[in-house]
Amino acid sequence: MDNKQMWEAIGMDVATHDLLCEALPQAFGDVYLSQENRPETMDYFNMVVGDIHGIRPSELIKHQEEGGKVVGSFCIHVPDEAVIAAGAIATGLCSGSQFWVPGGEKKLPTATCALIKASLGARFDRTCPFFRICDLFVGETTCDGKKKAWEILSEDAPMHIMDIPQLKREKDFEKWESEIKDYMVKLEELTGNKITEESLEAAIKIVNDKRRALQRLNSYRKLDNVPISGRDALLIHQVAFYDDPARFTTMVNKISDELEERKQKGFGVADVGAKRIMLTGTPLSIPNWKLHQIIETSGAIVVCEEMCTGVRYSQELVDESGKTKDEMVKNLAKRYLGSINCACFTPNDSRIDDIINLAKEYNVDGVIDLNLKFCNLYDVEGYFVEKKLAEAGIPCIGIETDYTDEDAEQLKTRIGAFIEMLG
Amino acid sequence: MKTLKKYYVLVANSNIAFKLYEELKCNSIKCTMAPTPREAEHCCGIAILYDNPGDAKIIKEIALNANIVIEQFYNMDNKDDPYRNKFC
Repeated sequence: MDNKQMWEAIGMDVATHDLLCEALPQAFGDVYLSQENRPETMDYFNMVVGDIHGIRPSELIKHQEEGGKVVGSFCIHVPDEAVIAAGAIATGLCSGSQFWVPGGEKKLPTATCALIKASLGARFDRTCPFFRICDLFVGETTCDGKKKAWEILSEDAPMHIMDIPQLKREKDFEKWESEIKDYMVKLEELTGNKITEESLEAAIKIVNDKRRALQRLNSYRKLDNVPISGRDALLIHQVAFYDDPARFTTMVNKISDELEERKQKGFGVADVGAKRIMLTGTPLSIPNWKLHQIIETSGAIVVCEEMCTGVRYSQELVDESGKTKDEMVKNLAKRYLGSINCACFTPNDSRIDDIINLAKEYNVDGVIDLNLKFCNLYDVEGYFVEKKLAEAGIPCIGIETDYTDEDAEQLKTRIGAFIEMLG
Repeated sequence: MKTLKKYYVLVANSNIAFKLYEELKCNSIKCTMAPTPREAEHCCGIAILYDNPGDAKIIKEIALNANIVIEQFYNMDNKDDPYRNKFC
């Protein structure tokens, strides 16, 4: 079955979806194929992204034909381990293109962030296979926009909501543990499989291996001669949400092997003296490559993303020493609530500490605090980000944008000036 | 350095594309996988993009020996522009 037949079979609007397919090859060419000295092992990721609505969806459908289930989620607070332990496949969901935004605006106020609008647009307009395939969608309450959007999405899609605490007190960890347990019950009902100590232990190991691989990859970005562009690193982090976790781990380790060779040769992809930039803020879902492209075509290199589509995704492992299911769930809660410093928490000093520490660790010259328009949480927290970075003597600029191309030239001017100011 | 042309090999599906890619790599052909250009009007989303136009003949031979059916060789002007600032 070719892609078009598959998309028709799952009820997609193939003609409209074709408009997105039309834009991808050129955008990918401009951002990725135009780069020089990319690691050869990026070829795998070219393939995954080049046919992102073909290869992985066909694997998910095959899993369903064999009786398996597929669970989609929108946030890195939702533990994939639970899904894997129940014998289902966890997948991310498309939310990074302007293409889906008008569809979302049919249901949501315009003054909603592009990520939420794109998610709903992708589902309601039937232009994303992942949104057609999933047997269950897991929403969370990380912001008001999402919380209310899930109510609208639930008119059309089977939803499970996880209520995430907004503080990190002992009772909040207990609450998150109970949310994870409820989620596991839901997954057991969906799949007909029991989550056992053995299956959960194995799932924790699978996802930790993926984190270890990403941590290793990111460690090479700390080198003086950075052996991989920020665009490529971003692409890998974006694919992490979709790919089979074990295969992804293998491929990321292959890239790191190649980066190790580059390290030994002192080979870097950026020009000597290129400014090292860290991005912090709202996530960059696939295929949102705008900021990285603008920064890296303005004489700088992105060496770190303090984002859900960056180090936040892989920092801290789940403690693997749990023996009972309760202990394992406790460890999951500890990692998924305690180690992710999303702007949804108050107070959120740990995120500011993370940003300062990462800026030092990755030896950055400047920080770009990115806010997706209408994301009040990150926008407001920008006050502390900029204040504390100023106190630490680290240059920072706040940028607000969305998924459109319209502000690209303005951003290029502002970012270019910022990079120039770094000396 | 940016080349003036891009040279693609088109096959029926992504599994075949990956198989051919691996064969070409084994034979030290410089290539990568990339989204199939829209201009090619071909159904498979992935194509092989090879560097040297002089490799077309040997690519045919490699594919033949590996029982891989090549549907088309497709060449086009290289329109990649990192400063276009058009995303998707």
